[in-house]
Amino acid sequence: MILIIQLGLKFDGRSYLELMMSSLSDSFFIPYNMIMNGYLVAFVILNTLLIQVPLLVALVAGDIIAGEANMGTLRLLVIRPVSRTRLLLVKFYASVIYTVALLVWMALLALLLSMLLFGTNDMMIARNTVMEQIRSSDVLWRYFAAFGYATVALSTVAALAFLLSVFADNSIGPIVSTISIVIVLTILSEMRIPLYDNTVKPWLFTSHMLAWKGFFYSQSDGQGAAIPGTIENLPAILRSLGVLLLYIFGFVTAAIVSFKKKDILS
Amino acid sequence: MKYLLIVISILSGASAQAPDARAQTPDVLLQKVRARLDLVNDYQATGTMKTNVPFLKVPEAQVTVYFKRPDKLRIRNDKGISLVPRGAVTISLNNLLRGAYTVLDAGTDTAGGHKVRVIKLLPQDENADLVLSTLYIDEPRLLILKARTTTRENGTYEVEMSYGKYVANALPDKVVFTFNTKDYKLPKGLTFDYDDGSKKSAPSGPARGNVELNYHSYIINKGIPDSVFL
Repeated sequence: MILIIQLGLKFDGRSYLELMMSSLSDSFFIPYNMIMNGYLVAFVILNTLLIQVPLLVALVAGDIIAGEANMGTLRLLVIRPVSRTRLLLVKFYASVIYTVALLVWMALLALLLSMLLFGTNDMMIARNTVMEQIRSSDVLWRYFAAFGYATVALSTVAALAFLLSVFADNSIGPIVSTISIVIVLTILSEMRIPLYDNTVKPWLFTSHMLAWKGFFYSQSDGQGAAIPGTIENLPAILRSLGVLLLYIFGFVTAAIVSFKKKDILS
Repeated sequence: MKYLLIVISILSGASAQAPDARAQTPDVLLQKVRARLDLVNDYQATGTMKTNVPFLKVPEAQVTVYFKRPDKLRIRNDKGISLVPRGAVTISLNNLLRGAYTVLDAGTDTAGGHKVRVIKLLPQDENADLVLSTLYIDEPRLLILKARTTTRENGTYEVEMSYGKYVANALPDKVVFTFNTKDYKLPKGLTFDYDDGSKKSAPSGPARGNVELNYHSYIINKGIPDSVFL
């Protein structure tokens, strides 16, 4: 998927940029060939992988308990002299390690390969009402921070799939349920419905999964110029991080509590 | 009586010369300004560019500005990307004064704290993109302090100049280029913005933006290859 996007942008990246910057081109000369660089390509790839990556995480985390139950090995596991809490925590850690490995692989493919294929330059980000420019020397640390944040965001999905996995004897159920929940909540997070904006959205974990993008938004001085090395709203990102950590804690705790009470028959 | 005649002759002489010095015709004034600007065939200037547009958040850039007569101009950022406004060629006044114009006197005004003569240029070519240009000229120093240009395609530009170290060459230390911008908005479904919960007021409707160029140094009349402008 990443290679397909890179290939498409390599041969027709200008059309994509013309779409994103159409209203700017009336007022400015746009150096499209400079803007289409590895940093922007990696950003585009990360945007388009919003759905696919949670699916890959759910595939493993949803299977991690239910898969054992399906194969009939869960009973054998729990009779070992290890507490159920410890067993579940180790299983969850395994899901998180997989998530980290997946992100490292994505970082190598999406960022490193894009940098090699497209070169580097300043990064232009099209936002809803603002176009941001980040100096090339100011970009990489933002990617590291964003990937770090994405680890927590995807671990939330892993925790949800892990919780659902405890209740199932077949891995299909938790995987499909996790993806369905993520899709429905993402749609709710992105829709502009005033009734939900201040009541429901702030509490949906999907609303906070996009906070990795906050690392690419800079503060501006009094005249509107971007200040290199700054983050527009760090407290909001930390708040989002806190919400996600709470969700992870809640999902894993609920999984442990349920599993401890569960009568393992398979 | 003798002294009275001397005083009268001095006063009458002064009053006879004054109109020539003060109120030279706008054509003559424009020719003198042109002649002064024509002393510069090319220049390469280094400086900083600050962009102040409501919907653009870009850092200050180190730029090099290249100019070569008659009308070549390029703003280059060697360390990154700079969005250069359309119409920025008018920051070089040589470009602005090219062509044949009908010149009109529009009185006096003040610009940059100086009293200036205002002249208006109407292009003689009816198909020219330029519709009207108003120049604010510091007459004693033969310097253009401000220029407002209206074009068919891209609205109205305004260029304000401050002079310092390179005033002898009529080259400014600081140029503020003001221009019209169109509304910028992308659907949220396309950008997937992170909503941090803070209230942001989006700029609405056509607005004005400006680019501020502060020049640190010029290399004048040393020759610039055409390949720089490709």
